[in-house]
Amino acid sequence: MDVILQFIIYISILFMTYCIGSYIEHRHFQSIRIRENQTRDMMVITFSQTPEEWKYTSTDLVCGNIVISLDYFKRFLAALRTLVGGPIKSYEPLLDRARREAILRMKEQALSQGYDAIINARLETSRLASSGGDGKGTSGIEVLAFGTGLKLLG
Amino acid sequence: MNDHELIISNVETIPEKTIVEFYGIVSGSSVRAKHVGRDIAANLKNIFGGELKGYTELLQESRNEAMARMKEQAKSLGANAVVNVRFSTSSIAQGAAELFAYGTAVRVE
Amino acid sequence: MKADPRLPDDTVNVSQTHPLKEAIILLIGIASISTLIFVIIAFFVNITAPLIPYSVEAKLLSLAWKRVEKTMDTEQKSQGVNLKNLANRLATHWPDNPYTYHVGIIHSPAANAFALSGGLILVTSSLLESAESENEMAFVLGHELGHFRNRDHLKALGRGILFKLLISAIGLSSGANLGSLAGTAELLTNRSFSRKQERAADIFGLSLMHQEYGHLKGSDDFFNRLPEEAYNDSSIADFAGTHPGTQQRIAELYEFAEGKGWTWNGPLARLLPQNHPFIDFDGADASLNSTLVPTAKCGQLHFHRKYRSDGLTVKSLVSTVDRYGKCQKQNPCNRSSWLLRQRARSAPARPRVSCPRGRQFYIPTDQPASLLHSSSV
Repeated sequence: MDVILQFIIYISILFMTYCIGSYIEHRHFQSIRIRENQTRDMMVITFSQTPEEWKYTSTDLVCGNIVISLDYFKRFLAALRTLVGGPIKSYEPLLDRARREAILRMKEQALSQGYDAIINARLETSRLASSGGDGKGTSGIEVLAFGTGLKLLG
Repeated sequence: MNDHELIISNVETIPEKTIVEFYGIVSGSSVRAKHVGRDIAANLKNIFGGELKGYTELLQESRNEAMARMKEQAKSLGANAVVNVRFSTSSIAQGAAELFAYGTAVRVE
Repeated sequence: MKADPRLPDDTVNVSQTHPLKEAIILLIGIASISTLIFVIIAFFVNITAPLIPYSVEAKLLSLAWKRVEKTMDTEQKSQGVNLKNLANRLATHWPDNPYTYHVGIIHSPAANAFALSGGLILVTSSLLESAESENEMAFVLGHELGHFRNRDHLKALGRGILFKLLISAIGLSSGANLGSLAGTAELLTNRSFSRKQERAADIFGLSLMHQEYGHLKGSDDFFNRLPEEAYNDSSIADFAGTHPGTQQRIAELYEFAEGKGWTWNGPLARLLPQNHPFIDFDGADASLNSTLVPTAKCGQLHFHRKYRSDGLTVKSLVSTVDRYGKCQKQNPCNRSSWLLRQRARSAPARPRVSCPRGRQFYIPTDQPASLLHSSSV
């Protein structure tokens, strides 16, 4: 009986983490969409050279980062997926959220410093701690977005 | 607009064309894993070194999908080229590779 | 060259598959693949395991036995010797018996017995405590002997080893939090023998009973005593569908015995540690020729020396033992402490009521047997 009980408890914990995790994810996406619309006028490009037509006065490094982690259910799902192979879909929302949030923070920093555009934007992703093993480790990923903010003339 | 018309470049210019409009960053990402049998084989191979064919394949598949997604985003903006494309690979989970491609969506003429 | 910041399609990088749907598909898929792998491994093991030579098993035994023996106390050791003799006695009815049996006793709240390689049988303390007759234990041991004869223990061992290897291989490469899931799956599949194996072992045990005692009385006691839902690991095993239900097993025993024309009626033998005198705690028995008479008050056992003088019965208190077998009081004339073990500790203590019939109490060998109502079975 014990094993079945444990199993049921395990499944309910999984389901609970799924519900809470999805709610948090949904809220985050909503907030990202709103803020992306607010900051859409800020131009971000990956060029290392400033386009010739752009006249600018000052530059500075701007960056934004985020450390984010996945809920237990989706980690479990990812672990199942690694057994059979194929695209690990449960990680996709996490990475998407992380990148967009990092870019947003970079843009927000640039805005607060009065810049109009960001050039040479770069994104870095790294695994924070062990997401493998028995699931006990903190499984965060860090996304860093950085670029050069420009103050445009005219 | 189809793939053939979408120009991908990892420099900032495209020969004989000029950039007329910037649309901003576009990106594509893909996380993939190989099935556990491949993982075990790769673990064994790791002892002696050499190419881990399974993982080479895995990363290539991932990269292709990430590129496809980036192109799709660019198309959704009405761009006809993505310039200054960068790739980054990161290890998200054990045995899984994450490929990320990003660049600037532009319109060239 | 002008800047026209636009927001790209933000659904491209996120698959629209519902995670729950994916989880269900994956779980069903993986479960069916694992089942397939299990069946293949079990098939493979069932063919190869019986080919393991007995000499290898003997080596495995000496390792396992040393470990088990360490955990047993003196009393358990003496019980183990008793059961070991019983098992080897039963084995004389099996002409090709290749083993010399050892019986270890392990602590466990679940009444159960296990067959390990090389003729090692493990009996849980709970099973031993609840057993009321030698016949009952003999059937349990006979059943395990049946597993040995069919080499089921090796099949289980082989399966266990292969599964451990497989799980660790998967664990090494994929890591992740599949440990608990794999553990549960292992529990579900590893320990249980198949329905067919259990039935074969039951029938072998029954035939040993018939040859040893000439009757089958007591063989079904083990099953009858267990609540239907609590048969050893059967909550798991029934779940996995491999363990015959208790009632069904009893029915099959009756059916088989009927087919052979074996009788279920006969005297029950007493189960007692090797060379230990015992007192049968029963008012009727005690009034016979015993020189030492136990009486019970408030869950305590009082031992009186009883002797006759001029036709009168005189009692003198020798020792009091509580129902947990601890010595409470001692008469100076009683030299050593009397460690008594009450078989059914769960029996509620009732004042002025003597213990129910058939309860037995063990007295260690350092007591002169002449003091006690000694009985040879």
